[in-house]
Parts: sequence; C-alpha cells; structure tokens
Amino acid sequence: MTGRITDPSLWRAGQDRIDWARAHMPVTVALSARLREAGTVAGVRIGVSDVLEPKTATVALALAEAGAEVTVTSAGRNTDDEVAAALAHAGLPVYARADAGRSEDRENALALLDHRPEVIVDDGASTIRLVHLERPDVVAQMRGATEQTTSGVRPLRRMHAEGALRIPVVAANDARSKSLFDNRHGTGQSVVFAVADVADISLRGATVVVVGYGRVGSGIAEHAAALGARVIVTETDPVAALQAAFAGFAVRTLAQAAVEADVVISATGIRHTVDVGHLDALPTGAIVAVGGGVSQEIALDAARAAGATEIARDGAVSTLRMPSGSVVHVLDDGNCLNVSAAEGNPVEIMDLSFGVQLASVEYLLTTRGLDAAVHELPRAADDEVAAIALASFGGTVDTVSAAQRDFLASWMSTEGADE
Amino acid sequence: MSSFRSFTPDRIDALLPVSLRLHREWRSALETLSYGGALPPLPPALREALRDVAGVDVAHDPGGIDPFASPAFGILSSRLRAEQVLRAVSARTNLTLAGTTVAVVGDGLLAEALATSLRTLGAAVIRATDAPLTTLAARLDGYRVQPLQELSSRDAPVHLTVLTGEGHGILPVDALVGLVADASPGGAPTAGLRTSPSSRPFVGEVGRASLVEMPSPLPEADVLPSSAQWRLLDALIALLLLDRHAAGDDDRFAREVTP
Repeated sequence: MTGRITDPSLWRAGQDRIDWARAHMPVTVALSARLREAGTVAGVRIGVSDVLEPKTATVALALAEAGAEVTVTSAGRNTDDEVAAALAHAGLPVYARADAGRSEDRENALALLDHRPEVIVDDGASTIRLVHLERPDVVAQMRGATEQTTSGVRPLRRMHAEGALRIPVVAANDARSKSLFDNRHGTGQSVVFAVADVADISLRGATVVVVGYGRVGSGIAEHAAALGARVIVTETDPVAALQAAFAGFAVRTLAQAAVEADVVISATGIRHTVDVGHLDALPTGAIVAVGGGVSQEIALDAARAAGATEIARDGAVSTLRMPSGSVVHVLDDGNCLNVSAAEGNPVEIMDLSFGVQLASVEYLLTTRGLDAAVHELPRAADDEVAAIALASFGGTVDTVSAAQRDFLASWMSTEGADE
Repeated sequence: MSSFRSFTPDRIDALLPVSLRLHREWRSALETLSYGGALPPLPPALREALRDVAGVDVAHDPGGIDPFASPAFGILSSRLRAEQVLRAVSARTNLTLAGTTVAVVGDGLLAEALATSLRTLGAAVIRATDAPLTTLAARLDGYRVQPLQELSSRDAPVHLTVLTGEGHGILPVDALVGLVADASPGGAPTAGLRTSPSSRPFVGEVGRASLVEMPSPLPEADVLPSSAQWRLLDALIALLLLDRHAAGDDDRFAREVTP
C-alpha cells in the first residue's frame, strides 16, 4: 500500500503553505542539513505520526531529504488535506484524510506500521502504543521512538514502569527547548487566538477562566490578558495556584469562577476537568473550549446523559441548552481547538519542537546501548536547538568565564578571597 | 453584500445593541448621521440595510464629525483595533508574536494599545516616533524608541512593523525587512503600494518586506463582518447619536460602551 489521501490535486496549495513554514524554520533546516551530511538517517524507515499541517510536513520532508524512508499518518480531525496531498506529491506514502473517523484513523496508523518503521516520531504516543499492542514483530525490529507531548510521555512512563515498553523512547516533550516554548507560548497564542476567531468574539473586557496553570495554562492566561481579558485561574496544585497569583491573576475554584465566565478554557489534559456541574453553572452565552487536551476534558457525554441538548450548530460552535436552562457554546466539540479548528502553534515555536524531534532522532540513531525506557534528550542537544533559535530571533548567548568556571567547579569557600 | 439585505430588525438589534437602544430613545424619524475622519465609509448595501431596517442612515462625509475627537471613542477603538490587528497577523501568518521584536510606528492611542498588548504577550517592542511627548512616555515606560528616519536602519532583526497612521506619513515600506501590517483605520500609509503575491494568502511581497493585509475596522463589502467590526460600528453610531441628542456627552458614551 502506498498511501491513502483525500485528493492528490490539492498539492499545490499545500506546497505553498509548506514553503511559507519552511522559510521560518531555521532550526529544522539546520539540523536536517546535518542529518543529511552525516548520513544519519539514510535508508532508515521513519514513521511520522503527527498532526498533519505545514510545519509537521516540513519535518517529514526534511527527514526524507536527509535520506530516510518516511511514511506519514495523522488522525482525520488533525489532517489538512492540502498538506497531505503535497507530501504525497513529494513521493511520501501518506495515510491521512480529513474526513476519516476513528476506525479509519486506526487503519491508517496500522498502514503506516505495515511499512515496518524503525523509528516512530509520535505525537500523543498513540502509534507507539499501537505498535506494541498490534505489531510486536515490528517492535522487535525498531530502533526507538520520540514523543513530543506531555499527554504522550505520561502513558509511556507507565508502560516502562509495568515492563511493557520494548524500545527506547526519547521524551522530546521534556526538552527545555520544547516545553518552555511550545507548551507555553505556542499553545498560548494559538489557543487564545483560535477561541476568539472560532467564537468570533472580542476578548476586550471579557472574563476568561483558565483551568490549570501549567505551562499551557500559563501561556493561555498570558495571551488572554494581552488581548484585554480579565483572567481568573483555577488550579488544584497550590504551588501552581500561587504562581498564578504572583502573575497577577485572580485564583478561584472552577465552581466559583464558572458563574461569571464569558469564556472557559481548559488546559489540564485531564478527562472531566470541566464537569457537568460546571457547565450547568455557566451563564447563558458562555463559551467553553479546550487547549491541548484529551477527549472528554469537557464532560460532554456526561452532560448529554444529564439532559443537555444541542439546540444549534454553526461550524465549529455547538450550542447546548443545559438542564439549568443556561445556553453555552462549546467550541469544536471539546477537541484540541488550536489544532482541529485553526492552524496549530506558530511556525517558529514549532520549529523549536521539531528541532528537538530531529535531535532526538539523531540521538536514538547515534547512541549505542539505549535501553527500553523513556530517555531525556541530552542537555547539549537541547542547548544546541535553543542556540540556533536564539540567533534567528536576534539574540546572542554569553559564555562562562574562566573565573566563573573555577568558582562553579570548587567546593572551597571563597569568602574574602578578593580582599 | 447580499447578507446585509437579509437583515431582520431582531438580527440587527443583536448586532448593534447599544446604538439601536439609544436610537429608540430619541427616534422620531429617519436619522441621517455623518462621520468624517480616517474611518472608511460603510459598504452601500450595509448603509441601505441600516436605513431600511433600523432607521439610521450612516454616511461618510468629510464634513461630518471626526469620531476620534472623542477621547472615549479613541480609547475603545484603539483597544478593539489592536486586538483585531494582532489576531489578523497571527491568523494570516501563523508566526509567533512572543519572542519577536516588533516596531510600533506612531504616537497615538493605537500605538499605545498595540505596544501594551505586544509587551504583555512576550514581544520586544520598539516605539518608532518623532513626537517628543510620546518619546518621553515610552522611554519612561521602558520601551526602546527609534526616530522614524531610522526605521529601516536596524542593528537587529525586526520581525514585524506595525504602522498606526498617527504621527507618521508615507514610509518606505519596501526598505523594511520582515512582516509589515498597516493598522491605520483607513489604510492611508500603504494606499497604492504595489505588492507581488507570496505563497501565503493575505501576504504580499514588497522589496524584502511581507505586507500582511489587515481587515477594515468596520464591516466591509463582500466579507462576512466579524464581531469586532460590528462592535466598532455600534460604538460609532452611538457616538453620532449622542453627538446629536446629548451634546456629545463623552462620559455617557463611555458608560454605554463599557463592557
């Protein structure tokens, strides 16, 4: 099988958008050039399982240009058919259609595994888990995988703890160059702007409740405030809640905040974060969305079971009448809005994440003896990604002086040494 | 746009809640309201729909009152426009704002609103202006300030230049590098500028700069209006009604449009 896409004729528009992204991805370009020159991925079968839009396409193409045999899959709700067509036009087997449902998504992922990838570049760990469950013969031949999301690394660590993980996995998500920027600034911008665009609202003067103040939540809070919203943060972790307070945000329980919310954005990645009671307490006209996220982070199935009914649907906006009588608008059925209803995180931010992914692939393929576990990307590789990006943003990194190095290397007290 | 012609009274009430409530307060006959200044005229189909359905005829007339003379309108429009411009830049380029260096050109309220929002979301802001008062305030607020004539001579990359149309004339956009957005209400700073197409919709190339097309602050012909455009139109009509019936009571206008 050599691919399954919606319409090959869409390739030109997809290619234009890939070209735009690539022009703003200096880290990906630099690291893929090194992989090509060193022959690191030459002839290696690599499966890319990711949101399929212009930035991820750039990574798939970069790996292919460096000599890898690249196959691509993506869930239907995360697939851009134009981009899929552009990758197919470039000769890559692509298994992704925007209109695919869950069963076809699974068939597409299995089709990728039929190419017997030696490395999987994953987003959400769904394909890594699938290969362990359904294709043990493929796993046995694999050299490893990389995973770029918080929600994907968590089950992989569980797999390792339970002895189920059979390949080395680099937690690209945990690299500082990824999580400090992608999760916070990238998702912050893309989620907040997508909420405003999809719901067609101005955030000026609106009350925005941000549920969860991790890296994603803090970025969402910051961007909402920048557009003129009054932000209330809800948190279950006292330290994170304190951080929110020190950033100048009101901190309340979700039950307290819901009653005055114009917008609720969940950023916890935990099922049933916004529960039926919260939805029921929202004022009429409130908007609910998920940034990042997992299925049923907004408890929509439970809400329907409790009597909520959809009274209107306009594009990605579903309007529900709750049992309390209030009418709330749910964006994109509670899916990860910035991906499914917008264009994903900004290009240069994703460039950092994909730079980390490429560095992770390089680490997997050039490091002997990595055991079947979840590994961190070495600090030096992480630093290199950041340094390339910093230069592209116009910054210059300083160096440690000999005196500083001596100080850091010594355990002797230096009190009075300069007197 | 044909959708303007399909307006019902209920629909137009929902889109223009403040102004039509005020209009009912004083309505005796068809109101003809004129505004001048930098805001663009309304599309003829919308003007016609407002006249037929709501009983207000909103005309653009150089002799009409300049809404920007109202401090409250200036505050509201600058905040709405700053949000609209930043959202358009983000959606039309898919590029980051955090981490970038942005030059905000001009000395009015819009420049202030843009600078504040951009700084809050993590951009390094340069205020480009020749106005001594703006320079003083910007320097004291911690901004780097650059004279207009140095706009194109930069020692570090500037990722985005935003023209506000206040306190500057026509600038050599083709001498700039990076993204350029014309946030001015009427698009005067880039009127007539010829661009060549890029690989991205709404982005044209001019020299080494990429000009990102901005939406109008008011509803446009042939484009589905956004809530921000309706909100500003609502405020504009409210301002014109208050000018006629309440001696331009700016405090009342401010109260009426405060969310």
